[in-house]
Amino acid sequence: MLLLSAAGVLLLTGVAYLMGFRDTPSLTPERARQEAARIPGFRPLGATLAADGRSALVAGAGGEAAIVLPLGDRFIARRLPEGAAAGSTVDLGEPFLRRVPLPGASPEPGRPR
Amino acid sequence: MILPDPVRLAIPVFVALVLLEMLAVRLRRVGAYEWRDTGASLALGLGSTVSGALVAAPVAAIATFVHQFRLFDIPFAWWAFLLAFLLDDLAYYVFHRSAHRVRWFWASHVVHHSSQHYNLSTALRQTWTGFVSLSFLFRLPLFLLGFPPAMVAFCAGLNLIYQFFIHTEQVGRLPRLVEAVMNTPSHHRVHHATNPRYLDRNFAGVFIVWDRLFGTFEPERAEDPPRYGIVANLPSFNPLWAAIHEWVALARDCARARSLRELAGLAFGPPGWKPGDCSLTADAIRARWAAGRAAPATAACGDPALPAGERP
Repeated sequence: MLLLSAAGVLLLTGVAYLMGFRDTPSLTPERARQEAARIPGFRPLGATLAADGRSALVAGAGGEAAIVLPLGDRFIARRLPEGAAAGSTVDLGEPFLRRVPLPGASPEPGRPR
Repeated sequence: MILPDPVRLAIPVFVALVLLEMLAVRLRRVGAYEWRDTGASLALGLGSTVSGALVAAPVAAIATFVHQFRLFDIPFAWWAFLLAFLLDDLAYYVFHRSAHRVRWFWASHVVHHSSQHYNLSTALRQTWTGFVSLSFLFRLPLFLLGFPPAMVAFCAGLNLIYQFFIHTEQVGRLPRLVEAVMNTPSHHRVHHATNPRYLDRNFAGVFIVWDRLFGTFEPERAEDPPRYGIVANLPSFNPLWAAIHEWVALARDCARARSLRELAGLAFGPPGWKPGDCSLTADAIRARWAAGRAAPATAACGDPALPAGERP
């Protein structure tokens, strides 16, 4: 029964793959700001996209910064520790975010939304 | 009286409807699936079934033990099933509200909210640690009243099946009377949303009247479309991490507690509770959103290295 259920899980997952549910959308600066705005209290200003267009550094009001990272067809956002420099690699203290490369240029502050 | 397990009987229907919904998403361009997200949800559903089977015997033993002290002898009659279904749904409301308001229970329940998608596969994304969190306690009053454990288990299964159908974006609003009484896809989309307006709202299982009665109802608004997931969305599709991540965070936070009061707040306070004025609970997030203010800076909260993702 367990093997049958596991086969069912693999089958449905495979069907989802074959039906094309594997989009990897690119970020725009506006989308990056929207994603960063989901962090409670973070007020996004300017965003700088990585070269692949899939992640971004977002500058926040008060000098803080956040990173937006891809996850399938969605994104996740995290506030960066103080002093994290563009182009460096940061440890965000979570098992799947131990070595996160930051896009190479400092985010350009923009106008508050 | 031996009753069937309605959830087991419904599994083929679940599978067929997930396939049908995938097709509808492709044809209608409403809603979304992501293959790894779907795989994680289904794996979590399978794991939940396994963990449920492993603890079925002790849960049944506890239910039977409590039933010995019942106030009434309730028979297996049609009216008793109706009453059991209604009261079980009330017990579910109390459990579910607690699962969002008490971090201990949230650590188990968060897995159900950990997808950024909202589709029928999300309904199957269920906890592996319900027994550990002692969530079965919420149904004990039904046994004390006198409802036979088999009857309650049957009604709980029907409740779970009903809730499967409302995890979809394919259904908009239902007729007004239905929306007034029943939990619907629209009401439950609100429950799964992280928009500040929607946080910790619409805890109902089958009947939305509980939320209306107890002041936790919020309608879906076209101008504020739901954004699904949790406040700090998971950075991985790994089902094991989805199942245990909040327990790990809870243990780590409790290990850092500086007093018993802090320990109690971190374990049994609302998710996001922190000592001092640094809490990021649902109420605090909503209040700051309503007031248009920013949350306190992390440095002011005495833990400058703690990223936002570490918070529930």
